[in-house]
Amino acid sequence: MFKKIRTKSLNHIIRYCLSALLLTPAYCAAQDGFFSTINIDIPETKSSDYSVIGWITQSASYGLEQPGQLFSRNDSELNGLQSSLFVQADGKFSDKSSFRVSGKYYHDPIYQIKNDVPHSKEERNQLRNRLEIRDFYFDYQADNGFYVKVGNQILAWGLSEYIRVTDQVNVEDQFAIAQQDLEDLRLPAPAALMSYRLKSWLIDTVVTYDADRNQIAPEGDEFDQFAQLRNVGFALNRQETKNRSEGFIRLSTQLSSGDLQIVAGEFNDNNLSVQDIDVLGSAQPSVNFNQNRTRMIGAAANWVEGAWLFYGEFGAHYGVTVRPHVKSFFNQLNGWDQKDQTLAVAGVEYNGFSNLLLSLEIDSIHTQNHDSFMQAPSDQISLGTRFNWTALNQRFRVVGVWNKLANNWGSVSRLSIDYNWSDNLDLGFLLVDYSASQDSVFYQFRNNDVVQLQMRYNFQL
Amino acid sequence: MGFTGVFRCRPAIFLSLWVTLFGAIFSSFINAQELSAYEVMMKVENRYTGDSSVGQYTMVLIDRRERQRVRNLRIYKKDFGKDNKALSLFETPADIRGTAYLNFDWENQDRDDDSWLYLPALQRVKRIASSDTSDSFLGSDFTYADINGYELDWYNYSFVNESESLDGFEVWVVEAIPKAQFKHKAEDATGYSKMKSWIRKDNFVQVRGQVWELRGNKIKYFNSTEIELIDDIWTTKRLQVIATRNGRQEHASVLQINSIDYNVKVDDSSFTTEYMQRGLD
Repeated sequence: MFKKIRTKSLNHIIRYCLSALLLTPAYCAAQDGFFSTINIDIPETKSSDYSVIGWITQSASYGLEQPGQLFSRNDSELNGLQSSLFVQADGKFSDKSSFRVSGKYYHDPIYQIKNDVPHSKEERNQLRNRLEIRDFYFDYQADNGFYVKVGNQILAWGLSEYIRVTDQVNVEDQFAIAQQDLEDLRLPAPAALMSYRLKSWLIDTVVTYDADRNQIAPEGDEFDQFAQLRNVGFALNRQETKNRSEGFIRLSTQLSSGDLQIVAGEFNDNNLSVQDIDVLGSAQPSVNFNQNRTRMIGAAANWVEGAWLFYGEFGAHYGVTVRPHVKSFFNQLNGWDQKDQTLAVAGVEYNGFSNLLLSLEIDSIHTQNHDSFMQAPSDQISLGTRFNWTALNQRFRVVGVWNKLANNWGSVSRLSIDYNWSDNLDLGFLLVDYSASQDSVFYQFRNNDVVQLQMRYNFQL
Repeated sequence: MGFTGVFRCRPAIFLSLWVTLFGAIFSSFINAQELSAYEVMMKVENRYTGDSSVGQYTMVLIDRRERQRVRNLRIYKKDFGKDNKALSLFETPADIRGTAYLNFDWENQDRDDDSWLYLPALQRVKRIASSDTSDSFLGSDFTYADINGYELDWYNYSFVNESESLDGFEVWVVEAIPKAQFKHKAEDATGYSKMKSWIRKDNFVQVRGQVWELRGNKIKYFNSTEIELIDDIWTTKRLQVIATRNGRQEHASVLQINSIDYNVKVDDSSFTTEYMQRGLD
C-alpha cells in the first residue's frame, strides 16, 4: 500500500513538474503582461473658476396596491412618469469669495395621461409640476478666520439617520415619503451662516428667515397628509408664523477617533400642528394649522473603534406640540398641547466585511407630563437598520433600509439598486414597502407601495 | 496597499509616496549592496516627499469590457511635524463633483488614522471607521490603505532578488509578510496577505508592486512610469494598477499627475472638515 501511494505520489509529482515546466513561462509572461503599460488617452483637464453640472432624470413608477378612494389613484397602476432637470452653477468672485446657484424642475404628465382623475388642469400642474430653487448663496472667507455664507443653503447637522434631534435647520421634501433621492431629502433654507474657528472648536451661528416648513404633497396626491380631514368636509387653513426668523448655534470639534457637536436653537417646528378647530363660526368647519415655536439643546458625538463606528445624539426639545388621539376630538379644539420631550439616539456601523456597510440605530422619544388623550405613548422607541453593498468597483450598489416605526405603528422598507453604466449614465431600481397599523399616522399610506425604474444622465459643462 | 504601502509604509500619503519619491541617490547607491530588505524599505519610507504639495490628478477606471470612467481630483498634502494630513477633492464627473476625503496620518503608531468623507449629495461630512481602509477608494483599484499607507513595523521583509535589471535600472525585489503579532491588524488594514516591491537602487523609487488579496484568489499589479525629478523630488507621474482574479484581468486604474507643486503654501485650514464642504465652492 505504501508503495502504491508512493508510486501515485511520484506520478503526481512528475505530472506537476511537467505542468510546471510547460506552464511557468506562460504564467510569468501573463504576470509580466499585467505590469505592462495600459495604453489609454488621458484627457488633460484644467481647473476653472466656473463650473456647471447637472443631470436629467427620467423615472417610471408603478403603484403596487390600491391607496383608496381618498387619493388620486384607486388601482394598482402606473402612478408616475417623472422627468426632472437639475442644474448647478458654481463660480468664484475671488480667491475668498464664491457663489452657487442650483435649481430643479419636476414634470410628471401622469395626470394628463390618465383620464379618470377628478382634478382640473391647474390642480394637476400643482400635483406634479414644480420648480425648486435649491442652493443659492455666496460665501466669503475673511483673513481673520471668519466665514460667512448667505442665501439658500443646506446645513446638515446631527448624526441620526431617522429622527431629527439637532438637525433642525432645513425642512424636508415629503412629497413622496421615503421615495426621494438622497440629494432631494433636505431642502435649502434662506439663511446666514457665520463661522469662526477658535483653536480646535468651530463655532457656527445661523439665522434663517422664512424657512417655511416640510414640503408635503398637495391635495389629492398619494401622500396628501390631510386627506382624511378633507374627506370629512373640513377646510384647512394655514396661519402665518408669528416669528419668521430662527436662530441656531453649534460648537463642534474633532477629538481623537471621534467628533463632538453641541447645538442649540429656537425655531419653528418643520411640521404643521393644529392651532385650533372652528366648527361653529362658519358654514364649513375649519382646521387652522401653524408652525409651533420650539427650542432645542442637544449634542451629537461619534467615535471609531476598529471596524465599528459608534454614534449617539441627545436632545431636549421644549414646547413641542403633540398630536391627540383621533378619538379625542375635543382635545384638539383649542389646538394641540405643548410638551417637553427628550430625544436620544444610539447607533452603530460595522464595516468589517469587504465593500459592505451595516448599520443599526435605535431612537427614543420621551414625552414629559404625558396625558392619556395623546396619540403616542410617553416613551416611543423606533429602530432603523441599513445595509450598503457595492461591487464592480462601485459600479453596482445595493442599499436596503428597514425602519420600524415606534409604538408598533408599522414599518417602511426601502430597497434600491443602482448601476453606474458610465460617467454619464446611471440606471436605478427602487422598491418601497409601507406597512402601518390602524393607530398609525401612516395608516392612510399603507397601500402606497411602489416600484420605480430610473435613468439618470449626468452632464458637466 | 501593497505597492504603495510597501512603498511608503508609515507616514505621508500614498500619493505623495508615489508622486514624490526622493532619491538618496549616489551615496545610497554606494551603500546599496549592504542594505538589508528592512533598511531598503526604511529608505523608501524616509524619502523626502516635500513639506507640502498641491497636485492635479486624473484617475481612469477601466472595467473588464474596457469601459472607462474618468475622475479628476485635486490633492492637498502637508506635513505637520511627523504627522501628515491630506485632502482629496473630486472635480469630475458631475455625480461625484465635490466629494472630498480628509485623512490625518499620525506618527504615533498606536493611534489610528482619522478620516472623513464629504458626500455632496447629502451635504454632510461623515467620519469613516479607520479599519475601513481595505475598501476601494471611490471605485478605483486603490484602497484607502493604499492611499494612507501602513505601518512599516507590522511586516517582515526579505529579498526575493537582491539585484535585478528592470527597464535599464538595477532594482531590489523585496517581499513583505505580516509579522505574527500584527497579522490580523495588517490584514484588516490592507486586505493583503503578502506584498512584493521592486525598488530602484539609484533613487529608492518603487517601480513595480504585486499584492495578494486575502480572499478570492486576487492579485493586484502596480506599475509606475514617467518618473521625473520635479523640484528635486522624484515624482512618479503615472501609476497604474491591474486587479486580477485567477490570472485574468478584472479591472484597472490609472492615476496620472497633470501638475504638481511642491513646498507651496497650503493653509492649515485646508485640512478641516468645514473646508471639505467649501473646497470646490
